[in-house]
Amino acid sequence: MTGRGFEPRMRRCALYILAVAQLLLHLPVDCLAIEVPYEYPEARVEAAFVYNLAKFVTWPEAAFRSPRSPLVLAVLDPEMYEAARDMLAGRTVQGRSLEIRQIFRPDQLDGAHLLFIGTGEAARLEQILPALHGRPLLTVAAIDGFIDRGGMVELFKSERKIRFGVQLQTIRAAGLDISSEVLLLASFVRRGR
Amino acid sequence: MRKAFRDLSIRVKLIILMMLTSGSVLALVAGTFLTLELRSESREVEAELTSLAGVIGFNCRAALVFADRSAAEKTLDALKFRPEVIGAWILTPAEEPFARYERQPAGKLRSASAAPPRPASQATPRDLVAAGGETHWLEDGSLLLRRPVILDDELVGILVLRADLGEIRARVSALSTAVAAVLLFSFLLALLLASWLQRFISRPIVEMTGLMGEVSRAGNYGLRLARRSGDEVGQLVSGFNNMLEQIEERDHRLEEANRLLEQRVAGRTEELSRANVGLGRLLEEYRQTESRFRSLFENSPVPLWEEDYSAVKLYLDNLRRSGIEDFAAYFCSRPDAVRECAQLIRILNVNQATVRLFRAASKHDLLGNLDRVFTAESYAQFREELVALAQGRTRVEVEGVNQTLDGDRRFVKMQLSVVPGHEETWAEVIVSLVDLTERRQAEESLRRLGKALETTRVGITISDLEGRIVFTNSAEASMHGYEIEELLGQKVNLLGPPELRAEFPAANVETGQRESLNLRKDGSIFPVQLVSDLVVDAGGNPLAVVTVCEDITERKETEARLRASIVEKDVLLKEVHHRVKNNLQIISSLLNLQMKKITEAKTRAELNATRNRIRSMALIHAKLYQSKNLSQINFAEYIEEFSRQLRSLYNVSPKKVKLVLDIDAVYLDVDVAIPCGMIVNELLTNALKYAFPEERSGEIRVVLRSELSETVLSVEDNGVGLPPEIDMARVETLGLQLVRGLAQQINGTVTVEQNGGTRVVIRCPAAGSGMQKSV
Repeated sequence: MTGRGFEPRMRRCALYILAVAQLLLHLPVDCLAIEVPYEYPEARVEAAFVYNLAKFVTWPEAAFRSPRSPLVLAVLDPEMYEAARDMLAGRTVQGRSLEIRQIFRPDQLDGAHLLFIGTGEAARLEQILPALHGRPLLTVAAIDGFIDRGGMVELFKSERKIRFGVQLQTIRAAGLDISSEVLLLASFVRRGR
Repeated sequence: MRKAFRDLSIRVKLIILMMLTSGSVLALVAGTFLTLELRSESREVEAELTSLAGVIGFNCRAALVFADRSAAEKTLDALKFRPEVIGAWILTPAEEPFARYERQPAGKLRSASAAPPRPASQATPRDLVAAGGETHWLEDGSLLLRRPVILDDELVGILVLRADLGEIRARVSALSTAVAAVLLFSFLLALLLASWLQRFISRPIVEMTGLMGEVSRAGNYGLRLARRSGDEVGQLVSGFNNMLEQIEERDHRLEEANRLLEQRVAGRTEELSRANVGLGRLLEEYRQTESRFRSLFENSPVPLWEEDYSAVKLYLDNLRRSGIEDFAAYFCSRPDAVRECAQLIRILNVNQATVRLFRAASKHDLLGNLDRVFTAESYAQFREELVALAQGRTRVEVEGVNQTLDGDRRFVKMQLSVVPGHEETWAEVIVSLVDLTERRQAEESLRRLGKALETTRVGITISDLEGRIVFTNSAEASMHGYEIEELLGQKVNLLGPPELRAEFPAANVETGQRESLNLRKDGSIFPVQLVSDLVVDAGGNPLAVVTVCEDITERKETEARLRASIVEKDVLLKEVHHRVKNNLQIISSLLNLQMKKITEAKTRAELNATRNRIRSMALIHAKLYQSKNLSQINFAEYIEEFSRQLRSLYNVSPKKVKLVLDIDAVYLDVDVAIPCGMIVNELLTNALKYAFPEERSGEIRVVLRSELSETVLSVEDNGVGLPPEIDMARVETLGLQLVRGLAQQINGTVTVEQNGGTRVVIRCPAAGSGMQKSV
C-alpha cells in the first residue's frame, strides 16, 4: 500500500520546515525521539531511527538468554557502526542495555536482535537475507526495494525526512511483533508478498 | 448585644433559641449537601479527564518519538467526541508545542495562538516524571490536567487537557436555588412550632413573676401559687410556695432576735468604750516612744539613712536561682546591674546629720539630688556592699567617696546593717556614715610633711621624755652613719660625745639654737648646729622633744678660711698705709731740702705750707696702721698729736697761745679723716700764723661735736680777727680755698664768724659722713 497522495505530502513538507526551524533553536541533546536536522550525517539519523524503532518491537522471550541480557544491534556498515556507537552507547531499550556490534559476515549474527544493513551491501542482499529466515532478528536497511527483496523495515528519504515502510508478514514470520502505533506512522505497510 | 439579649422576655428568648438552633442545623445540612455535590461532580470530571489523558498519552507516544505531528494531531482529533474537553496540547519534553486541539464553540472564539496553560507551581516536566503523575488545577472556570508521556522510562512529551466546568456549575446553581426554597419553608415552619411550644415553659414562670411582684408590693407572704405540672417548673412553683412559708416564719423569728441583739449591743458598746480608754493610753505611750526614736534618729550626730532593700534582695535571690555564684565577678563585669540594684533601694528617711554632711538645704533637697551625691566611686563602694550582702552578711562596712551637693568630695566610711527581725526581707536597713574627709586630709598633710622630713638635708630627731628616739629621718641617720632602724628606741645622747652627753628628763632640755659636737657611729666627731624644742599638748604639758641637727663642718671650715684671709688682708693694709706714710714723709723731706735752697721768703712759706699739708696726711696714714681696724682713726688722738707738731713747727710757745682741744671721741673713716685733718691743718696754721701778731697772746679752740643729725667742727681764736676786707666767699688764698673745697668733699658748709676773733664752723650731716662715735 503506497498511499502517498500529493496533498498530504505538501502538508508534511510545511510541518517539516516548521519543525526544523524550531529545532535549530532547541537542539535535543538527551532524547533522540525527535526529527534529526538534515545537516546531520545520514548515518546518525538512521541510527536514531533504529533506536526509536527498537522501543516498539516485541521479541520472543527465547530471543534473550536472561531477562537482563542486552538487546544486540548488529551493524553491517562501518559508517553506521561509528554513528550508532557514538550516539547510542550506554542507552537502554525496554529495560535492557543496548549492545552495538559491528559485523562483517552473516555468520557473526549469533545473539543479535536487530540488524542494520548498509547500502554497500545492496548487491549481497540475496546472500544475506535468506540465511536469516526464521530467526527473531529485525532487519533494517536504507536500500531501495529492501522489502521486496525480503527485508523487514525499509528506510527512505522523502522531502529531507526519514520515512519508512514495513513488511508485516516477514516480521510476524520471524516471531516478532511491532506496535500498531508505529504502523500508523509508517508510509506503507505490506501484509503479503 | 449580649446585654440586649439578656433583657428580653423569656418567651422571646425561647423562640430565638429554637430558631437559631433549627436555622443553623438547616444551613449546615444544605451547605454540606451542596459542597459534596459540587465536589463529587468535579471528581467525576477529573477522573474522566485522567482516564482520557491515559489513553491519548499512550496513543501519541510513537508520534512523539518519530516526530510525526500529523499523527499526533489525528490522535487529538478523537477528542471531538468529548464535548466537555475544550482544549488539548501535546508538548515536547522541552515544553515546545508539538500538536494542539481546540474546540471552537459557536460565537466564542479563542485566540489561536493561546499558549498551553501551566500550573501555578513551576514544576518542570522532569519533576513530573519523578513524581510519576499528573497535575490538576482550576483556571478560568475550567479544570486543567497535565500529564507526562513516558516511553521506556523516558519522558517523550507532555499532554495538557482543558475541561469546561460550566455545565457542572449550572447544575449546582439550579440545585442551590431549590435547596434555598426548601430552607425558607422549613424555617417558617420552625418559627410557627417554636412560638406555640415555648408557652409550656414560659407560662408558669410568667405567673410566678406576677405573684412575686404582688408579694413584694403588699408584703403579704400568705399568697400561694397553683401547681400545674410535675416537671422542674412544677417543682419550682412548689419550692416558691415553700419559700414563702419559710419567709413568713423567719420574719417572726427575726423580730425576736432583733430585740435580743439590741440589748446585747448596748452592753457590748459600754465594754468597748471602757477598753477604748485603755487603748488610748497605750497609743499615747507608743506615740511617745515613736517620737523619742524619731528624735534620736533625727538628731543623732551620726549621719543615718533608713532604707528598704527588699527589692534588692529579690534581685539577688533571682540571680542566685539563675545559677550565679561568684557575685563579685558578676557585678564587676556588669556595671549596669549595679546601677539597676541602686535604683531598687527605697530610701525611707535620712536624718539631719546626713543633710548637714551633704550640705543640703533640707531632706527634700538631698533626696531630690541624690544623683549628685553618688559618684562613679560611690558605685564601686555600692558594688562591694552588694557582694557582701549577697554572700549572706547582714553587717557590711565599706569606704568610698560621696559628693556634697556643692560638689565637695567626702570620704566616708559606710556601715550598713540589716535591722534585726528583717533578715528575711531586708525591708529595714540602717546605713550610717562616718565622714573621713578631715582624717584623710590630715593623713595627706602628714604624708607631705613626712616626705619633707625625708627629703630635707637637715637631721631631725623626735625623742620622748625619757630621751628615747621615737622618730628620726634619713638625713639624721646618714649624718651619724646609722640606719634609721638602728636609732629608733635608742637614747638620744648616743649621738653626742660622752663628755657632752646631757641627761634627760625633758625639763632640762636646752631649747633654742646652739652649736655642739656630735659623735658618728665610727667614732668620729663633727660640729653641728642644734635647735631643740619641746612639743607640748593642748594643756601645755611636754610630750616630746624635737631636735633639728645641722652638720656645720663645712661652715666651720669656711669660717676658718675667712678669718685667715682677713688677717692676711690686715697685714697687707698695714703695709700699704706704712708705705704711704713713708712715701709722704719722703716727699716732705724732699720739700724740706728744696726749701733750704730757696731764698725767697714767700715761696719758702708756700712750700712750707704744702709740706705741712703732706705731713698732716702722712700722720693720718701713720694713725691708720696703728689703729685696730685699719679703716678708721681716733680723731681726737690725731688732732692732739698733729696740733703739737704744728705748734712746735711754727715755734709758738704754749704760754703765748693756749691750744684747747675739745674733741668728742669719734672714729673717722679714712675718706673723712683726710679732709677733716687738712681742714684743721689749714685753720690751725692760719690761726697760729696770723691771729696773734707780735706779743699778743690768746687761745685757740678746736671743737668737734658729733651729734645725732650732724657733726660740727669749729676752730676758734680770740686773736685779731680777719681783716675787714676779706670776704670768705671770694677769698683768694690757697688755705681758705682748700677749706671750702675740702668741706664740699664731705658735704659740709663753711661759716666764718667775727666776734673779737675768728670762728670757722664746718657742719656736715652725720649720715654718710663716715663718723662714728666711739663706744
